[in-house]
Amino acid sequence: MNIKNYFVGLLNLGWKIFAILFLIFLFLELVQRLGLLAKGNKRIARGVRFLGFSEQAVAPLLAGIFFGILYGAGVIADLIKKQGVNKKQVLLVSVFLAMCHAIFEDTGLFLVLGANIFWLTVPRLILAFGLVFLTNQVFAE
Amino acid sequence: MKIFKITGEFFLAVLKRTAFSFLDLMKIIVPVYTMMTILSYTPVIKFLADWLKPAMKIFGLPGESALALILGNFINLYAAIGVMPLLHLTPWQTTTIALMLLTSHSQLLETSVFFKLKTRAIFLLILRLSVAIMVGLLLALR
Repeated sequence: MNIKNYFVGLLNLGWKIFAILFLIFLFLELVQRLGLLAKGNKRIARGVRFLGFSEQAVAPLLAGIFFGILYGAGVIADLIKKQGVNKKQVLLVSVFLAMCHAIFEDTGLFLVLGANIFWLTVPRLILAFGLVFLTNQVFAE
Repeated sequence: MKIFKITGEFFLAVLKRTAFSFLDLMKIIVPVYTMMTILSYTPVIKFLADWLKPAMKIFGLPGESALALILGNFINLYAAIGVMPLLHLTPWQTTTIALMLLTSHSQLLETSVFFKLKTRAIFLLILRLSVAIMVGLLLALR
């Protein structure tokens, strides 16, 4: 058994993952502390209205895109409890997040393995926007 | 100087998040990587690879890369990342698997999250699986 290859491979993978995670969390922590997401809320809401998203949907959408599906779902669950969100909005957010969530962390991990950044991001964003647009047309309120 | 006080505490917070996340990841990556290394000395992987070769060929992928897709969908991305370095993939094949996995992964956990939101979880599951297959076919065209 080639035990040296095993450790070299694991360490090689490990330090790269640690480095990319550090960079990502540096960025995310900064975004969170400066409250950048909350500040952009209204403008983003205007931008995504054509997809059928209400202003309410922006917060869970951003939480999911940046931090992952569990965060996004947490924000939705919280909104449902506090103010009630209609089923269609929940579906639209879910479709978007199903296609595209945790864009920095999940994408970054594959970049460590040598994947192409363009093909990991652009097709997914197009799919997310396109499928939400279609879902909005197809499903009734 | 408020800004200096913030910096130390800020980096500590970032380091803490990184460390927790890293350990969470490694808890899965290390066992999977180890298992896969051991299995690579047995005929199991070759048997599986030969069996799945025709199916994976349509994505331009080697047979054993099915392991990454299976682990990624049933467990999570970290499990897939644990095996991928051992599959001898080209960068393009890595990109293909990555895009397929990014559209569809951790289905047990994430589908149950959608169930909890009382939204159309089965529709989303089928959507993600079919989109993953489609992007795989698309990238195989290159």
